[in-house]
Amino acid sequence: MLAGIQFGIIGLQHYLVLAALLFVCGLATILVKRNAIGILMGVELVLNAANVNLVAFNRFAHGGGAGPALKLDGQVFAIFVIVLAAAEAAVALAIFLNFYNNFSTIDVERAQNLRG
Amino acid sequence: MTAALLLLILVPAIGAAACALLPKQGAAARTWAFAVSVIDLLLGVCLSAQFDWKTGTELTWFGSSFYIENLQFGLKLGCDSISLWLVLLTVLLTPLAILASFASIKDRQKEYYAWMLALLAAMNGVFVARDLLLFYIFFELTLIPMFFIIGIWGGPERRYAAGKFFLFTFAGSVFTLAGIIYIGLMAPRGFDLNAAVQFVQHNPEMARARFWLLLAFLAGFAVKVPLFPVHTWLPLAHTEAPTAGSVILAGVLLKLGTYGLLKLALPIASPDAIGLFAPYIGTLCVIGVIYGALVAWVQQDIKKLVAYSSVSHLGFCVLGLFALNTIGVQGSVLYMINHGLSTGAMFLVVGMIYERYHTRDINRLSGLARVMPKLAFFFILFTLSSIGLPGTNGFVSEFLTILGAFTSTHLGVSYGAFAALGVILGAIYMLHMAARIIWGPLKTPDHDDSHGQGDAEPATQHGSELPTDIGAREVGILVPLALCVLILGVYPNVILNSIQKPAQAITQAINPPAQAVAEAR
Amino acid sequence: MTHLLAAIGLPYIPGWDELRPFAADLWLIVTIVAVLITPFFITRSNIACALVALAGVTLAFLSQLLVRNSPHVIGEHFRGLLVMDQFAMLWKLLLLLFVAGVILMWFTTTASNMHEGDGPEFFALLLSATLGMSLMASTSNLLMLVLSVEMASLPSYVLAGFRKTHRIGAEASLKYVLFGAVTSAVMIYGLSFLYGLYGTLQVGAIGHAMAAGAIGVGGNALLAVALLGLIVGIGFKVSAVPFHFWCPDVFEGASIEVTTFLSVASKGAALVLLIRVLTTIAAGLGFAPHAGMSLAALAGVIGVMGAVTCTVGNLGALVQTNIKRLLAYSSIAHAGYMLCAVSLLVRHKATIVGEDGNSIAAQAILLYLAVYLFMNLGAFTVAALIYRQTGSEDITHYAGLSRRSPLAAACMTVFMFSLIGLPPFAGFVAKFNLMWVLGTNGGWWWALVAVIGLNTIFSLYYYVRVVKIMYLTPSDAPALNVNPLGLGLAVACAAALVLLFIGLAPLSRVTTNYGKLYLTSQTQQQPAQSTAMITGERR
Repeated sequence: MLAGIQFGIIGLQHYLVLAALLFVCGLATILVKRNAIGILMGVELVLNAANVNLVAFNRFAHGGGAGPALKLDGQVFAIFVIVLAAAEAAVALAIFLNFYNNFSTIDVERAQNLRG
Repeated sequence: MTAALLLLILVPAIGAAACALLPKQGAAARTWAFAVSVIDLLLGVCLSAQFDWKTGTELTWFGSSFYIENLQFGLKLGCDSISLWLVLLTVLLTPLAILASFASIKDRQKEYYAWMLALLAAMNGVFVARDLLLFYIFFELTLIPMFFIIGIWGGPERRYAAGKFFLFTFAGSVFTLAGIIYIGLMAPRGFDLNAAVQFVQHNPEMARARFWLLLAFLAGFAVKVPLFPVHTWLPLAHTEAPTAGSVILAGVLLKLGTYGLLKLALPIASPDAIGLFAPYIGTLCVIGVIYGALVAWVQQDIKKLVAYSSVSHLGFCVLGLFALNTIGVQGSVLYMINHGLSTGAMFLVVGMIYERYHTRDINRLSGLARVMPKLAFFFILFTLSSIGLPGTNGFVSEFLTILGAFTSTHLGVSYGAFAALGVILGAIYMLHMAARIIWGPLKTPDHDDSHGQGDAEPATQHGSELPTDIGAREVGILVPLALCVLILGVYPNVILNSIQKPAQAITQAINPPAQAVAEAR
Repeated sequence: MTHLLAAIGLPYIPGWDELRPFAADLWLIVTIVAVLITPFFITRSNIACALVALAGVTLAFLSQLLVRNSPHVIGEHFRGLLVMDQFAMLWKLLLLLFVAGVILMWFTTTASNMHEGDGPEFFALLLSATLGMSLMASTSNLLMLVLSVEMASLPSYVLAGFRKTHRIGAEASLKYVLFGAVTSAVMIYGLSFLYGLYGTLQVGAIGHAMAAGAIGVGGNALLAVALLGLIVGIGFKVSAVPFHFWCPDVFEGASIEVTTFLSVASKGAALVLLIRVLTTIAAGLGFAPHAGMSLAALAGVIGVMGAVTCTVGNLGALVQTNIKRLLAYSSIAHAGYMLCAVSLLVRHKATIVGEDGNSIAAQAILLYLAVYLFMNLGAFTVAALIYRQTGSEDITHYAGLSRRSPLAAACMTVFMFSLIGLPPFAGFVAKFNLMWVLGTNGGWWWALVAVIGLNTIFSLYYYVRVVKIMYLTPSDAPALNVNPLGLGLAVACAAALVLLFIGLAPLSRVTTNYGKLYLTSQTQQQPAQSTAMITGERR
C-alpha cells in the first residue's frame, strides 16, 4: 500500500539497520540506567530488535515466496518472543516489587550486600 | 596363587573398613590392626616364597573383569625383586609402627588404626601396581591417611604440617598424572606399565615427549622423595607426625618417590633425556646431601635432626639412581631398604625417649645410658647404622651409591667426592647428638609441659621419677629391626644379587649395549 | 487468507509414537498441575506438595527408564522440534534423580520454616524449571532452544528470591533476573541473525546450510554476531567467565536447596544444550572447516573460555569463607572444566580406539555431570544440615565437626576430596576422564589438560581448608543433632561417590553407550542445491 509513495524501495537492509539501532538503544539503556525498570525497558528494546529482524528476514528472505511453499518460521518465532517478553516482564516486575519491599528502592546500585 | 598380590592390598583395606565395626572404647582396635598387619606380613612372606629368586620372573595378577576397554585400564598387579623387597619393608615396618602406637595413641584409636591399615594397603598397592593409572591411584591414596595421621594425632604444629604435606605432594603429582595420561594415550597397550615403558623407550617418535615426560614424573616424585629445593614439607611433617607416622613416612612413603623414579622416570626417559638431566639432578642430590647434613647438625630437636638426616640420605639414594650405572642403581635400591630400616628405627627410639621425657630437645636430654641401658644400646646401634659404619647395613649402600657416582659416565668424581663429604658430616652430627644424649650427666625428665603435646599426653606423670627402661613390647619392636640392620650389614648380597637383573635392565636401556657390556666386564 | 490456510494445512496432532519418548516430560507436566491443585484437597499443603512432587519425579524417572529401549524413541520428533537420543535420556535420568535428591533435601532444610501455603508455588516452580532443563537436552530447533532456556530461567529467577522477607534473597533474585533477561535478549537477537542467514530454525539444517556455503544476505560479521549471541546466552546459564558475576551472589542469597538445584541442574542443562547445538552444527559441517564457518575458531573460543572460567572460579574460591559462596565459585570452576571438554565437540577424530571424538567428549561430560551431581548434592546437604543446627554458613563454624557430628564430617570430607579429584573417589574418575578425552585430541588441547591440572592445585587449597577446619581445628561447641534424613542423603551421596569409583568399569560402559548423540540428517527445509555437499554424520 505504501509502495505508491516513492521514498525509494524499503528493503531488508533498512529493517536490519532499524533493528540494529533498536538493539544499540536497548543496550545503552541497560548499561546506563540504574533503575531496574529502566533496565527492563532496555531488555524489551533488544527483544523487539530481534523481532524486527525475524519478521524482516521472514518477509524478505525466507518467506518461500507465494503459493503453497509459504513459510512462517520467523513470524512464529517473533510471536513467541513477544509472549516470552511478557512473561519475563511479569516475573521481573514481581521480583522488583519484592526488592522494593525489602530495600524501599529499585536502584540497582543499592543491591550490593552480596560481595566477594 | 599370585592372588597373594591382590590380598596384600585387600586384606588391610578390608581390615581398615572393618575397624568401623569395632567397639569405640578399649584395645580392640589396636589388637585388630596389629593382627591384620601381621597377616599382611605373612602374605608378604608367602609372596617371597613363591617368587623365583633365581630367574627373577615377575609374578603377575590380572583382574580381567575390571578391564575398561576404552581407557585400556585394568587391575594389573605384579612384582619383581625390587618391588618385592620394598613390599617386605612395608609389611615389616607397619606392624612395628602399630605396635609402637599402643602406648602413645590414646585418643580416637579406632580411626587411627583404620588409617594405618588404609595406608598399608595403599603403599603395597603402589609397589605391586603394574598399570600406570593404578600406580597413580595408589600413589595418591597414601596422601589421605597420612594427612589425617599427622593432622589429628600429631604435635602442636600438626595442622600446618598436614596441610603443607598434602599441598606439596599433591601439587607435584598432578603433573605426573598429566604425564601418565599422555603415555596412556600414546602407548598401544594403554596404561600397562611394562608395555608403556617399552613403548616410550627408544621410540624415535617419542624423543621430545621423553623430555617432557621426565619433567612431569620428576615433578611428582622429587617432591615425594624429597629432593633439595622441594624438601621443605618433610622436616615439618616428620617433627609433627606421631611416632608411627614418622616411621612410615620415613620408612616407606619417601621410598614411593625413589621407587617411582626408578620404575618409571628412569626407564621412560631412557636413553637420551635421562642423561641430559642426570648432572642437574645429581647436583641437586649433592646439595641436598650437604645441606641436609649441615642443617641437621644445628638442630636441637632430635626428631628434626633425624628428619634432616633423611633429606641428606635420600640425596645419596637418588644420586645412586642418577649415576645411571648398575652399581649405583643396586646401591640405591639397597639404600631404600636400609634407610627404611635404620631411620624408621631411629624414629621409633626417639618416640620411646619422648614418651618418657616429653621432650626431644637435645639440651634437656642427657645420660640416658645410665638409666636405660637397653634403649641406649639400640639407639647407638641405629645411629651407627645411619652413619654407615662398616658392619651395619648403611655402610654397603652408602659405599655403593658413592662408587656409582664416581664411576658414572654421567656424573663423575666431583659428585662422588662431595657426597663423601656428606658421609663425614653425617658421622659428625649423628655422633654429636648421640654423645650428648646418651652419655653425660643424667638429667631427669621435667614436667613443666612447655613442650607438651596436648591430647596425646601419656597418662603417667610422677614428678621427677627416673624414667624406666624399655619394656618387652618395645624391645620386641626394635629387635627385628636390629637383626635386619646387622644381617644386611654383614650379608648385603641377599638383596644385591636378587636385584642385579632388574637393575641391569634399567641401566642397559640407558647406556648403549656395547658400553654396558664393557661395564659388566 | 485462503492462501495462508492452504500453506498451514491440517493442524499437526502428535501421535503416541511422538509422545512416548517424552514420557518423563509429560509426567512432569502432570505433576506440576497436581502440585498446584493439591492445596484444594489437603490443608497441610507444603508437605503434601513435596510428596506429590517426589512421586511425580519418581514416576517420570521410571517412565524414562521404561521407554529407553522402545522402538522409534531415538530420532527427531514433533517435526524436528525435539530430538531424543541416548545422550538426552541419560541427562534426563540424571536430572530427575538430582531433583528427587533436592526435594528430599528440602524436607531436611526448609520444610519446617516455609510459610504454610508456599509449598505448591515452590514445587510448581521447581518442576517447571526442571521441565525446561529436561527439554534443553532435546532441542534441535532455535525456537525450542529459546523456549526451553526461558522455561528453565523464569522459574529459577523466582526461586532465587523465594524467601520474600529475606533481604539478600531479594537482592540475589534481582541480580539474577536482570543478568538473565539481558543475556537472553542478546541471545535472541543473535539467533535472529542465525535464522536470517540460513533461513531455517532447525539447527541441523543450519549446519548443512553452512556447509553449503549458503551464507545468505549478510556475511561473516553477522554470523559472528549470531554466534556471539548464542555464547552470551548459554554462557550466562553455564556461568562462564565473563558472565559469571551473578553466580556467587545468587548462590549465597538463595535458600540452600535452590542453590543446590541451580548449581548442578541449571549449569548441567546449559552444557548439555551447548553440546547438542554445537555438535549438530558441527555434524552438519562434517567436522571440517568451511569458508563461512571456522569450527577451529569456535573451539578455540570455547576452550579459552573454559580455561579462563575454571581459573577465575578457583581463584575466586580461595578467599571465600561462606560455604555457599565457596561452593558457588567451585561450581564455576567445575563448569569451566566441562567447558574445556565441550571445545572438543566441534572436532572430529575417529582414530581413537574406534570412537569418534564428539561422542567420547559427550561421554566425559555426562560422566562428569553424573559425579558432580552427587558431590554437590552431598556437600550442600551437609552444609544445610549444619546451617539448620548452627545458623551459620561460615566455614569457621565447622571447627571440630569431626567430633560434633562424625558422620557428617566424614561425608563432607568425601565430597571435598572428590571435588578435588582425588582417588579413591569418583571425582578422580570424572576429572581423569575429562583430561583423557582432551588428551586424545592432542595438539593445543594439552594446554587445556595443563590448565585443569594447575587449577586442581589451586582448588586443593580451599577444599582441604574445609577438611582441615573440620578435623584439625578443635572446638568446644556442642555436638550437633543433625536431621537423620538429611544425614542419610549425605551418606548415600558419599557412598555413591565411592561406589562409582570402584565401579569405574560399568560406569564407563554406561556413559559410553549413552554418550551417543543423534545427529540430524538432512531435513525438509534444507535448500535443494546443497544436498550434494553434505558429508555430515548420519545414523
